[in-house]
Amino acid sequence: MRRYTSPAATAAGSNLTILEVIASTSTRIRIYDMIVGSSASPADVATDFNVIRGTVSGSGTSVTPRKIDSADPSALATSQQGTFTGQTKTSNSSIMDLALNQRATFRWIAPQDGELVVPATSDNWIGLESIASGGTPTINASMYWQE
Amino acid sequence: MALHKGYVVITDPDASAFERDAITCCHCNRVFLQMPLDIPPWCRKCQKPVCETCHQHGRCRPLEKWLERVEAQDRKEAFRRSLGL
Repeated sequence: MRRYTSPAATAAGSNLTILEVIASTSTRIRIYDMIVGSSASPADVATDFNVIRGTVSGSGTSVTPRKIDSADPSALATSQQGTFTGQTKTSNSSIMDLALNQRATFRWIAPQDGELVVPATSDNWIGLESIASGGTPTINASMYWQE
Repeated sequence: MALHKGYVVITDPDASAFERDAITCCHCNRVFLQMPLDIPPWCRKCQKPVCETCHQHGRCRPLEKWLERVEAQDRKEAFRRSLGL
């Protein structure tokens, strides 16, 4: 298993994707770690996040996945951040819900065989979505995955 | 952190760290927090924990089956596209 990470920084808002990790047809991806925080000046802004699935990744700003082990080849999965157009999100697909104060930092670590799995298809993805927010602070998120 | 349990930590400058075990449902892949002294539902076929919603369904529907179905559908569509259909 090779491990990669993609960091993203996107403003919070209503139903905005912060970061999406997109599978390839040749391999499943297994997200095993996720960190969510904010680099904005500290303020009391509450944001509701969901981790959701989608079937069309749309177009956003590409984020090049980084290798955890520099000897590994480039990732087969891709990732995007920022403002998206043309996405298809799967309704009622939230697999993780969290509400977070802007001052706080959240980290989730998966158990072995309890990773979030994206099927090996052409455009399926898992993403961190800002469902609702009391403001528009910059949200910093990182997802780590195996493939 | 025990077997089958992940981990969630929320750090806040104004409070002590919030830490909980996090469980991933082996049927729907949903992540939920385990409250102290709470025993999560268990699938006796998968021998792994499931979420309350999947437990209510009462049937074993492993994530692996869903992944295989989605991937098979994608391969079928790719083949149809290659034929120009």
